[in-house]
Amino acid sequence: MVAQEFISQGINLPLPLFVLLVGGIISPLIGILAEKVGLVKLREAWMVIVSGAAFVSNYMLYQDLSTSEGDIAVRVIAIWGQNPPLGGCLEIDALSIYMAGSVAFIGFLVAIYSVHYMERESRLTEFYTLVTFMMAGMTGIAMAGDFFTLFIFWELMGLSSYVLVAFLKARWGPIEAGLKAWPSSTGWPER
Amino acid sequence: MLPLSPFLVSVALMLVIGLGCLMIKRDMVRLLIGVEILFNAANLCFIAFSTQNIGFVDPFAHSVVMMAIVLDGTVIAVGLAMVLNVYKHYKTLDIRKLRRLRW
Repeated sequence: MVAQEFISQGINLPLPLFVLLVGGIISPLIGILAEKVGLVKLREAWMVIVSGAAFVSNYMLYQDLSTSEGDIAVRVIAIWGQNPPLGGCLEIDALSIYMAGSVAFIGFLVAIYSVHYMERESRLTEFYTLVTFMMAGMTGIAMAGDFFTLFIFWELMGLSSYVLVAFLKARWGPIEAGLKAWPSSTGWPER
Repeated sequence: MLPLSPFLVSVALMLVIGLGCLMIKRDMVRLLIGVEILFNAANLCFIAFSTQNIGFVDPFAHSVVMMAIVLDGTVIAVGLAMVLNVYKHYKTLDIRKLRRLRW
């Protein structure tokens, strides 16, 4: 029997999700600031910092939940201040820490590689904001405790991902691929 | 407690109309309208079943549907933006013309 913790006071978010959501919200402001000051690499640096911080905070969450017997406790967080039958909840166990950690690690690699790969593209502020929100959505899917929370984070991930598929809209290929990736979140039959 | 059958009949009709629209129409904007009808059928089904408790209306279904309406709006907005970009590149709204992406 693993240990269980239950948190229901106030508005709580686990640290990786908090880091990614707040990082995604601040990212457009960083983009505006970067264009004003002239430091264009500030956006890339912010994305690398946010994804690295998400990975580190996953590790901190892992250490926080490890018990002295060697297994990992299950933590149920009622996010909206209501208990789970009437409000959404997050449920963090070993599998969700593993999945969120791999999302953060792959996102960190994506951030590092896209510094050079997206160098010649425009609209980079939107790109880094979308990637950060997609990572936040995937982390939320891994940590969701009920279908309501899962649905919200699924739509967050889906919206960001098919906008990212159609990101280079000056060519016909990404647009068509984006329109064909769109039903993966809405149920439009593929033709 | 409201009677359930009128709502379920409307949900079935809306499902048939939406799926028929997706199967028959070729205009992309009409396909988006079909998807929107399907969304609304699902939401109406949620609301109809939330009234079936004796003594109270389930508030959780209402919060789910409220969130779902917002998310449907964003999904349709992104879809319309993509249709606009498709029209810029292909000069048509016919879904059958989107066949360049093949191997």
